[in-house]
Amino acid sequence: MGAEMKEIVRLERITKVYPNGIIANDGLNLALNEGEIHAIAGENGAGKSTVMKILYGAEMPTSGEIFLDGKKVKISSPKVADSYGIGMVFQHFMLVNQFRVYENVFFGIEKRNRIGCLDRKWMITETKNLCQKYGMEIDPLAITGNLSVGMRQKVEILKVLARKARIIILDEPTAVLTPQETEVLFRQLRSLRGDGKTIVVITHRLKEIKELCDRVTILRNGKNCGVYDVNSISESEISKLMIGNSLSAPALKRPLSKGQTAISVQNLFVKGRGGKPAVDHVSFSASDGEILCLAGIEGNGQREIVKSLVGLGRRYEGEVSILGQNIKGFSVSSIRKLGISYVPEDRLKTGTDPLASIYDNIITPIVDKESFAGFLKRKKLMKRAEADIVSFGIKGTPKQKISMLSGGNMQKVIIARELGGTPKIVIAEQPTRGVDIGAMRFIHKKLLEMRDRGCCIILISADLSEVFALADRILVIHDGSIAAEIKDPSTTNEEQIGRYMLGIGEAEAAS
Amino acid sequence: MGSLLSKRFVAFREKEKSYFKSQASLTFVNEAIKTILIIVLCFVAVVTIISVASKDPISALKAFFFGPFTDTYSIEQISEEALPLIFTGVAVCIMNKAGQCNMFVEGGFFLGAFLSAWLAPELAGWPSALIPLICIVTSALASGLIGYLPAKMKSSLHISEFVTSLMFNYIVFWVVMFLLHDFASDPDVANKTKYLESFMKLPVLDEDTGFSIAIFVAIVVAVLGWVFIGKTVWGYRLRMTGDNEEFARYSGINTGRVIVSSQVIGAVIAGIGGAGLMLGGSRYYRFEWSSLPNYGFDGFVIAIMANNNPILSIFASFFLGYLRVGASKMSVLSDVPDQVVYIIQALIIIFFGAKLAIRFVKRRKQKASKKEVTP
Amino acid sequence: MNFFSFFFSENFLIQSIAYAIPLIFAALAALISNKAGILSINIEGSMSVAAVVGALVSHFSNSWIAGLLAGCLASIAMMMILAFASSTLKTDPFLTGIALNTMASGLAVLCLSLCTGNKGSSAEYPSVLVPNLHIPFVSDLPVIGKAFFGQNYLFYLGLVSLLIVWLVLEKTKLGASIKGAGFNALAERSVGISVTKTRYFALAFAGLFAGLGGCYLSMASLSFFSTGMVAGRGFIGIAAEAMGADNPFLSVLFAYIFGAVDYFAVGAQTVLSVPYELLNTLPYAMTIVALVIYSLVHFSREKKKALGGLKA
Repeated sequence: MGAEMKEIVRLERITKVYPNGIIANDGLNLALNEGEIHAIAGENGAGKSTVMKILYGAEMPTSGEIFLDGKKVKISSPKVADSYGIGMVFQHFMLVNQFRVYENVFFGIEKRNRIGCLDRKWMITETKNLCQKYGMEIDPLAITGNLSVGMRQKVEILKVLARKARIIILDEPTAVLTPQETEVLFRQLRSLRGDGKTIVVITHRLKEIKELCDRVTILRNGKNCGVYDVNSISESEISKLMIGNSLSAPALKRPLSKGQTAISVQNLFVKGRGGKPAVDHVSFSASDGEILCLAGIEGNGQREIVKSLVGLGRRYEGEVSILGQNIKGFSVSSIRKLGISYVPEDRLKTGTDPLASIYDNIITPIVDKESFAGFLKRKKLMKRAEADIVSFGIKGTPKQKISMLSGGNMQKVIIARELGGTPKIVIAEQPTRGVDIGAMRFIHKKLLEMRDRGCCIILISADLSEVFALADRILVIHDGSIAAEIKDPSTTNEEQIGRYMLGIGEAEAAS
Repeated sequence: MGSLLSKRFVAFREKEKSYFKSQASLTFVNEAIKTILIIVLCFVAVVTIISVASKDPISALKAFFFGPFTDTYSIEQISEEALPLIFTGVAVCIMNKAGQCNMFVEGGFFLGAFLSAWLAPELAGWPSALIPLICIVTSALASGLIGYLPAKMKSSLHISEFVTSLMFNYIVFWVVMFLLHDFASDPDVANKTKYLESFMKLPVLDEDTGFSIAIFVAIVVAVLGWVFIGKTVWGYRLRMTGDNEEFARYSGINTGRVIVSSQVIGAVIAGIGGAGLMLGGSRYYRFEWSSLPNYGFDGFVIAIMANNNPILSIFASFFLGYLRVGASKMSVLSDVPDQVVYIIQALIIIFFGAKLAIRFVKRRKQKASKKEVTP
Repeated sequence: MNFFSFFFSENFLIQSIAYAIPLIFAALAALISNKAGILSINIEGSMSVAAVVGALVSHFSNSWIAGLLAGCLASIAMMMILAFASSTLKTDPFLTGIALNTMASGLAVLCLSLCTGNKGSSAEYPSVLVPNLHIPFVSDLPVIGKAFFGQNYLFYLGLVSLLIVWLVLEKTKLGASIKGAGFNALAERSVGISVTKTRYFALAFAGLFAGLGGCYLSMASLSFFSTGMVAGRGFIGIAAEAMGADNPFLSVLFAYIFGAVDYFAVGAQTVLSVPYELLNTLPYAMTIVALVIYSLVHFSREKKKALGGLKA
């Protein structure tokens, strides 16, 4: 910083068009300087991941050129990128969970001893050395799948370092971290920069750009909207460039008007792995007309609580009542009949039938009703699907395959399906993950509408800004129990919640 | 909400709809070209194999491609060959749609054929309209009962129905052999069931060739299968489970019941198929198989060609029947043995099952897909 | 001879091991292809093809080595078709497996009739048998002599194969990529390893093992090939591997158990007055019972499934 910055990477006129017609990158020009931390900013769907994947050789551009140290290069695969010293840490980790840490770190570049067998000792020692050099504390022999998300991200970084990368790309690295873990990551990245490495961070979080990065390139709709020194641009200016002008204002939250208790959980206990309970005698309730948010690091019991509420986790002790009815032993469909809707967190794995059409995906809750003697009333169902598509702003026709939709649109289909039938209770897990800002605003608006109409909403979210935008009450879950209950979110901030999520700090019932 | 009805928005929606419709028809053309190309490829392979294997390839090829049409007997043979394939094909279609691979289609078919052949002569005194009916029902029930076992093991114990159903195939085979040798055989003829008189079998349409209504039963079953999958609530649940079981569960579908019922239905259809084969047509008058006839596995070929669509299975079955009659004609009139058809079948599966996306028709670039619609 | 003297005899020990040999190879073939993430159903068909090719080639070349080589080449070729179809054509391996099994039975009869004019068996053209081991003095020891030191060469080849499988998987880079391909092919691709190439290798091994297993049937157990002689052994091998939960040693152990049941079905006919057809159902029934017991035990221990591997 301060010295003359040498350009290390230049991308010229990068265009990427996918077979289904979507243009991810549109004539992008991008340049990176050696030894800087560079942010690639933009909303979901702007093309940030795509252009970096092209740099890393995981995707091929439709047209365009890459220059490294001034020389034109062709990066046809991640292996080629490795040889040029370019490494990438993906948002969805590319780790083999069954391998040990050192096996993942050296996956693909295993060291062999003289007789051709794997030199495990060397790899374990090298991993330890790398950890020491960059200040990470990981046991090389640990099974990767057992580590926390933050630790697994460190393993991904070690992978990149073991391949002697000069340029390290991180795709939305803080999406899965608590504020505290983010701090640790930032320290690490700064130390890597001090070691001469060039860091690229793909993000849409304005605070991080300001706090960590030296320069920022802003993308919108696949095009480059400008490169700026982070010091010379404000957060709101960055935001304006990222979003453009076509966005409506965020929905306003009306004051809370609670109704009757809709959900009551008493002493919920769910067995976990290895003797430790997944949910340890948790009690809470939620009322009509309020949005209750369960905040916490993944894997602290939120999953199991949700599963018990919707009927997917039948083995539990304690009492779970929905609308006054004890649902022990109820099947998923009987619980749904009580008026619960559920938006699962993984839209491809559990939220949709990826091989079917929008129509097939939207009508799931109403097939029983709109049928005659077992036969589907196709006309009625189709009309309903069309109406939902219009009222939820989904870009597509009923017969279209859902796999052709963007992430945001797919999520809208799920929301349309689950919210369209005016349920009494909605349980939403990460409803706006990986979704562009237009769709995110829309989904928030819909959730707030339902809340105003008296629906009880339980929101599970790792996006603290979303939590603060929507929640009336926050329960922080840590280690299977409630670490804190915040009855008025305006009295706390992200830092504090982060501490509760890590189990630090008193469990105050701030009111 | 009033903005939704604005003219601009409506016009945009219409343009969108027509774009998506044109994409859909492009896909259809794409798939049609792919299907034709695959069939052409298979034919090329056939010609190559035959040219290698035969000393007089020209006459062998003539017999293969044109032989089936040379006389009414051969044409009728096509329908006879297609008959078991339609049943097993539809059975596999239904199970594939539900994401299950229960191989008991083979054993169920075998069992159904045996039970019908054994039972029909025993019912000699009964009204002749009832005999085939009772046999079909018995075969369906027996096959369904045994097909239920691997299905239940899958849904309750999560054991792969593939392996267990294969084991049941062999078990059923040996039990049938046992019953055949020790109980069911004709006292005058060893290891074969008693002769099936025409009044015991399904009604015949053409006295000379023995062409019976069995093929129409098969077609009816195929149509019913198609209606079931596409037009009923249960068929919808079946499809959702087959595509993404977790999603189906999360939506409240009782996937356990779907898994079991789809396999039982498949087994039942297979059993009916076995009965239909024995009791329909001029080919079989006694049950005398000493090994599994492979019709169940052929069902997979049919289902692949038909893209798991029961109606298309009818056409696929006739096509495969045509190939088989051609192969047997060829083996009679030339020196190429008819097992060649199995090689062709294998190639068909491999090529048809290829998900490699070949684009024959270029897609228009769509800039509109990047724009956001804000209501 | 009564039942007990039949069961607890030297003969039973010898024969149970002998009957297990093809199952051991089938289990190893299933293991290595499973590790790479491909369910290889066509082990059955590959064994069939290897059996017919091995028998005929050994006869016409008058050498069992040539027969073994030819048989293994044939089964490896089958596996290569599976590899090609699943990697390049992206056909579902399950369907390709079924296709290849069907094709194998047809090809076997084709080969048979082309070479011998007979469609049922090659008995008129007997194979040159793979010899049994004979170490003077050791092989003549009571009880363990013949059972452990007098078996067919292929038994020892089977044990060697087990060792090779373990070595490759644990000690080599190829083994790491085979395991990676099975656990998380996406991750493996992202580090630049060709999952396709890895799977080709793994399936080549599988083809080799299936070939050895098939050749045993027509060149050691019997001296000719007859249609349908594999009789589901490829699938039983798959079941044994499933019970061994991807552990090579356990898979071979279960293969032995199934082999013992297989021999029991054959040998017990003289001892029990049960019709032979029903005895023949034993190996298959046993497999089902074993799978049921296994899954019940599995459930009661509440072992969760592997930590989220992705198969791509």
